[in-house]
Amino acid sequence: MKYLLLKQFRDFRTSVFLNISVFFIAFFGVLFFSGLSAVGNNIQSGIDDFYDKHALAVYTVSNKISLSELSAIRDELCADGAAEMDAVTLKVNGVNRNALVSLFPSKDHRVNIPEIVSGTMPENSFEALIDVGFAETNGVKTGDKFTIKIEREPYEITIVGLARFPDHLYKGDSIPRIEETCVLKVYVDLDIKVDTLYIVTELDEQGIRDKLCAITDKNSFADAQIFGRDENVSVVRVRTDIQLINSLIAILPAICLIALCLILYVNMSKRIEDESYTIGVMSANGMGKMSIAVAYCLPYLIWILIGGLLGAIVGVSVMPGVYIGVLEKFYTLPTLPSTGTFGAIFLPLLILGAVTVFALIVAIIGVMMCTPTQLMRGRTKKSVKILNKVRLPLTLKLSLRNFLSYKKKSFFTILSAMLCLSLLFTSFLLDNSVDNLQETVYGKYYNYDTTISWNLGDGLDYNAVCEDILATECFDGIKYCVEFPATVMVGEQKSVIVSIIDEEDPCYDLYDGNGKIEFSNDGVYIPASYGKMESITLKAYGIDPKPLELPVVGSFTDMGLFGVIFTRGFIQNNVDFMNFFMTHGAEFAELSTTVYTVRSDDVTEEQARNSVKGLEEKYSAAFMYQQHSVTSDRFKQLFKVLDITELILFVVCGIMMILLIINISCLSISDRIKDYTIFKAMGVGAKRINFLNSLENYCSIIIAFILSLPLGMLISSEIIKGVTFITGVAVYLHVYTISIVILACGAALNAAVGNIFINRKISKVNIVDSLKIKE
Amino acid sequence: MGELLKVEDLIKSYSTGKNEFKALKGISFTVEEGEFVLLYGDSGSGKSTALNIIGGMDRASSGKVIVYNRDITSYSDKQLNEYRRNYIGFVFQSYNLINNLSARENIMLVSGKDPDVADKMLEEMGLKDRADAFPTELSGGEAQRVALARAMAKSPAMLLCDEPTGALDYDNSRRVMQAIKRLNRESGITVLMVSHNLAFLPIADKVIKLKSGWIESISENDSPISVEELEW
Repeated sequence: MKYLLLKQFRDFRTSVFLNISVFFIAFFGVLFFSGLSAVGNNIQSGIDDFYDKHALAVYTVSNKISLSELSAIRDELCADGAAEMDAVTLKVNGVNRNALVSLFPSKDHRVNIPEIVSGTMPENSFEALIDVGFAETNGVKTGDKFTIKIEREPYEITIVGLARFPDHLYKGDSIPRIEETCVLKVYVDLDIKVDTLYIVTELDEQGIRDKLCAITDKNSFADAQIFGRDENVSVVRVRTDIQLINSLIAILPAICLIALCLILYVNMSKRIEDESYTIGVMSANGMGKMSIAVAYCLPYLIWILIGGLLGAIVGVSVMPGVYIGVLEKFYTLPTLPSTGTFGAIFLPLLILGAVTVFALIVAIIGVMMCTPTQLMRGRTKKSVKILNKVRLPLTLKLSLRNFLSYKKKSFFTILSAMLCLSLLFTSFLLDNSVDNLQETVYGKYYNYDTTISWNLGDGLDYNAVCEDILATECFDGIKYCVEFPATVMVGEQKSVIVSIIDEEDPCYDLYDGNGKIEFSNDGVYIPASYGKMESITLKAYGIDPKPLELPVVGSFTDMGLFGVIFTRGFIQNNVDFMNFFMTHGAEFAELSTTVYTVRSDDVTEEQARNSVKGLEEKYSAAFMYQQHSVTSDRFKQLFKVLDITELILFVVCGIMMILLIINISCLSISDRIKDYTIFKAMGVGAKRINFLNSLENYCSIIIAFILSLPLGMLISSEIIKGVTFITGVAVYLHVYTISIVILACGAALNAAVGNIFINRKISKVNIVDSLKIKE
Repeated sequence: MGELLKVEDLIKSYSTGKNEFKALKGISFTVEEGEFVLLYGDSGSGKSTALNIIGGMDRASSGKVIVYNRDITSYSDKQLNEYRRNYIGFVFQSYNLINNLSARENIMLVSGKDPDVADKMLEEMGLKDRADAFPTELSGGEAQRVALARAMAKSPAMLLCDEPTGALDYDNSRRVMQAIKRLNRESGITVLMVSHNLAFLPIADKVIKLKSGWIESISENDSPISVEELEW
């Protein structure tokens, strides 16, 4: 036994590729598994900890109260209050930005406590904290001054600190446009009325209502709108994005691990077949199956352990950072822990170890069905007799027969190649589908070139502004679209964006199975993925009556594309979209804060800029414009989570494919080394032998390639579905991508199999030794 | 008849750690075109080693192997491959047929695309009906005759046979030997055969007896007998 083990370790040099493969299989398997699970666990738990540590409000109550009432509430409940101003326009480095401004009248934060990253907490009136993510992106620093309007009066505020806000982790929070939104918390020593109460309490909703009514003696709290933490748009958005990552995590590592297990199984089985002579000798000398199995298992288990532990270290330390980096494009995240779970590290290790042991034991039992004499003499495989009478090139015939001669190996090779390729395809499919979405969304569904928006809170006459916009030379049409964030119950609480669109000439085209939807004014259109619903209940700040129950009159889908469009928006903004088309849209416009004017035809950026400049001069108010092309580009930026997944898939699957190709070529050679030696002895050229061996490998890869395409499409659509919660998503693969994959596979095969491995290996074959014709 | 093969002071040594083992210690002989030469000797005498070097499958440590006035010991791997393809037909003791090719296809592997050539070779070997059989379906004698047909399919200058009957029974050995001898007599192919079987000595034109890497004797046989006359 001791010497058998010694032999196994000494065999390292002769089976170096196998050992490297086993190492990398364990490395990638554990890296993926532990790394990705660490992503989900760390982000969610880290953010939950951040919420608790910074006393994120358990309840948010929407009702106007005076400072004296607030003071009483603060004493009775753990509460803070603020006057919330959404969509204030803030000029940052010459560019108009949307800002969410929270005016808080107390320096002593009890709830939603900001985490100061640099600077200090405000001490004096009109000192402000700004979101650190926005500040860093836009070059805002402490000491910078801005002007904001409070009840139409301009006030100058000074930034004294950069902070993270637990109630506004999302950079573009509240505003459904694809751009960063500035979050400002301004301390004001003014006698203002606050409209929002933030409370941390163990009471339930009714308990809070009762308590508030009792403290303030105001019945208005009896039907005040109360949002739980789980209904907080910001919280729901973060959670939904983490769910998105978790849904990716749920699919990918499992498929990768299966593919790796299959590659491992093929390798181990082949190793034992190659060792049949040695096993025969050991058996002849009285060694049992178990002793032999232990000797063969041990070195590979050591490799798996080393590879797996390194994979875990790299996975846990790198993978969360990669995904967190993507999320940081949309969130101002707190420092998140980077630890893997014991289970996520040891489960793949255990599975890979078990597959190794299982494969070796099964192979050893199979080999030891033969007598030691048979093993030492060398087993002859049965001939495969197909295509005997068919006139085909001899090389092709031989390849096909060889392929069938090694059915088990071929089957597992195809299976593992299929899984690797399907994951490789998945990366391209995701990429192509996203490309297609961008084209569809901005080429078909959004009917505008430019949006111009302004703040209704500035008190501008909507109709007058519209007339002025139409009067400018470059604009020939105007449509309005009012959007506001809300939460809606669709299976679980979801953050959505409600869009109220011009009923006669909407800036979006919606489609269902019958084509373009003719909008009805009677209710709400929801994404088809929500299923059949009679009505929806909407909760949003500022909507009255509250909560709002709206009838569903239709669902929109265009082979799933439209859902994807909005879901793509969902990826970016962490919101779903829901569209309202109703006669009383204008009423909502009054309630919301931002109006978009939308138009069609070709407007250049310069024309839009000049128009906006003219409007700003005329009305002394801020106007924002955004070009269609800019929004379209930003739209694509939102797919970074998928992009990074695509990249990881591409790299890992690429390496796995190379390992697989190297393995199958090496295995093919060791299988048929005697055949090739005979060819060589007969004077058959190395090129022809190389071609023959390549052909067999091509057979495996081509079959795997054909099978992998539908599997890749299935995985991609599952990923997209997991990401978007929408069925029937159109998954695209461009013809050029298929060509690239085919070419890449062909080139990799040719390079790896042909030029590097087979030729080298065959040229080293000694005919005399191989055919045992030495005296 | 001209000189086909000239072996000059051929040495083959193997290093095993610090020890060096000389399988051939400097042998020299010539073979004329159309000759049937038997390399005879005990196990370990160096006869197969010599045959492998002459066949371009192994390299000499020193000395020359001149075939048609060209020294093959200086050949590159590629040249040796061409040499094996164009000049040599090799028959191994263990047949070495490709398992997944039928008898006909094993021959076509060497002869080219034309199945008629393969069928003709098989017919000459008395295996016309076995063309579609696979190696696992052939008897030892049949397999060796297919191997012989394969070796002959490209009309080599020299047929090298390494103990071609070593794995065969009496009847099959006789059939194989008859086939080899017939090829030599009727086609004029030069045959260099290795054997340790004394019984084959009378059928050869020339017998080179090897012992421990040396040539012990070279004897010419003016009146070789046919295989039919042979008894062993």
